[in-house]
Amino acid sequence: MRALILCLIGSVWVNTVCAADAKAYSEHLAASPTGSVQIDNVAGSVTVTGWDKPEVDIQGELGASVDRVDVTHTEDHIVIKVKLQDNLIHVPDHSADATLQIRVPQDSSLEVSTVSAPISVDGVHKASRLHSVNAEVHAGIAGADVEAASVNGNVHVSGNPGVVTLRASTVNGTVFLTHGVGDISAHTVNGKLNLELDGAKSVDAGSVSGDVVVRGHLQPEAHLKATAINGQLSMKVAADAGYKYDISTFGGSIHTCFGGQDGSGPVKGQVGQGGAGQASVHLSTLHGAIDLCDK
Amino acid sequence: MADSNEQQPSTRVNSLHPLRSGFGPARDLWPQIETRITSGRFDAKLVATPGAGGRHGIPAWLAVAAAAAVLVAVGVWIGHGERPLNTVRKETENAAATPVLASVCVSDAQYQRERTALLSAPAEALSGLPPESRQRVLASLATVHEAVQDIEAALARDSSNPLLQELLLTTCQDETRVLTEVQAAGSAERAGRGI
Repeated sequence: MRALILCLIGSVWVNTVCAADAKAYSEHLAASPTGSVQIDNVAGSVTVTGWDKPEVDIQGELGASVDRVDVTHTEDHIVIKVKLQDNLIHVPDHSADATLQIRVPQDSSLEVSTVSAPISVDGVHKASRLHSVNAEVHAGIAGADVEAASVNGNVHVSGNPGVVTLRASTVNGTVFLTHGVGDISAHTVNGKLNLELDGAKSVDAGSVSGDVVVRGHLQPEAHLKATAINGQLSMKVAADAGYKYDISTFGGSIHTCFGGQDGSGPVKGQVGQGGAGQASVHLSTLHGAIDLCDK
Repeated sequence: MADSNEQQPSTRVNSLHPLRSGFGPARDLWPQIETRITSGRFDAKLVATPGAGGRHGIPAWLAVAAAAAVLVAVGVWIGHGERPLNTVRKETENAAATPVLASVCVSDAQYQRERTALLSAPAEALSGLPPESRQRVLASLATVHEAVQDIEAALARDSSNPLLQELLLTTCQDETRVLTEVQAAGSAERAGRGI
């Protein structure tokens, strides 16, 4: 009991000291409404929101091991970089954290790169390139061209009718996509893909070790390709005028809801209204089971 | 993919013999990479030794030259291998229709050189990551490596199987993606520390 109390006191003391060491940071500058903003952070978090002002606003807290935030502004390009103290490698506590809330013009092009800092972006209408290591990436209300990737972390992307291309990938983690439209590419190595389509034009989905689940609606001429090496493919996809499909697996099993097509394949066929649609679905696995249905 | 084959008929693989003989590097690099990474080379220290000698006693000019070479290799490979999203449609159609594997992944000698360069890079790229993160990345690289070996083993038994050829191509592309992302991660990490 005494040890527990001592631990609690110690924990409170450590948190108090860390909080006391955090420095507030604030910066506000004019920006081109259609310029580009690049943000680099090593630890902590980065939250970016698009707004309708031609300005960039940065608010944050910097841990004791953070040396400074470099902000450089050249013509249409703004670079925000968190710099740690020289030669710092692995910091066991949170003293290297820089927690940044940044507002940028909504028509900016955005590039965010972090190492141990989650990225969250909302309301940026143009291109976004979001890359993180050891942290999650959230792209809500995505822009026209979105690239969201994490090495060790999940990727969450929410599309909207304005999205043209959407690339989401992770090495260790799951990709969660909602309202997937436009040209979609989603890949993972150790993890799952969970994709909800809302009128996708093309889909290229692949997992090395993990399941791929796709639900939703394809455009009339859409093409969907999904591959898993050691994972299952579970597809519930529909297209207005139907689609052609071909399914193959080397060591897995195949099931469709179209009747009489269970087995080990390969399977080809067509669903929908007399082949009026040009959409196609191509599914393949090495070992995993494949399940395809249009409802 | 089909278009590029028509433009360069000499690189087209029409049988599995050239494909198999030219597939891998001369030796399996993975055990060496793993040994280097798990050896004492990446003992993390809270504060690195400052100075021009670099973190591992490598002369600064050599480190810069090596980094430049790796970056050039990555750049060339990305430019060479990048697939626009609108090629998914063609590739999907071709994958089902064409049993011939016209793969930059397998048959292109340049790819093999760049792949070798990338495979030697993760050790350096990973050195800045926390140990547990490094382990997770290594586990994923191993997963891809095992998947490639699985497919190769299956191809050895069923060498004309177009599905296996397609999966091999896809997995090779996954491998490249992982290696490139790991490189980028290492660069971001080092940039943040001002190295």
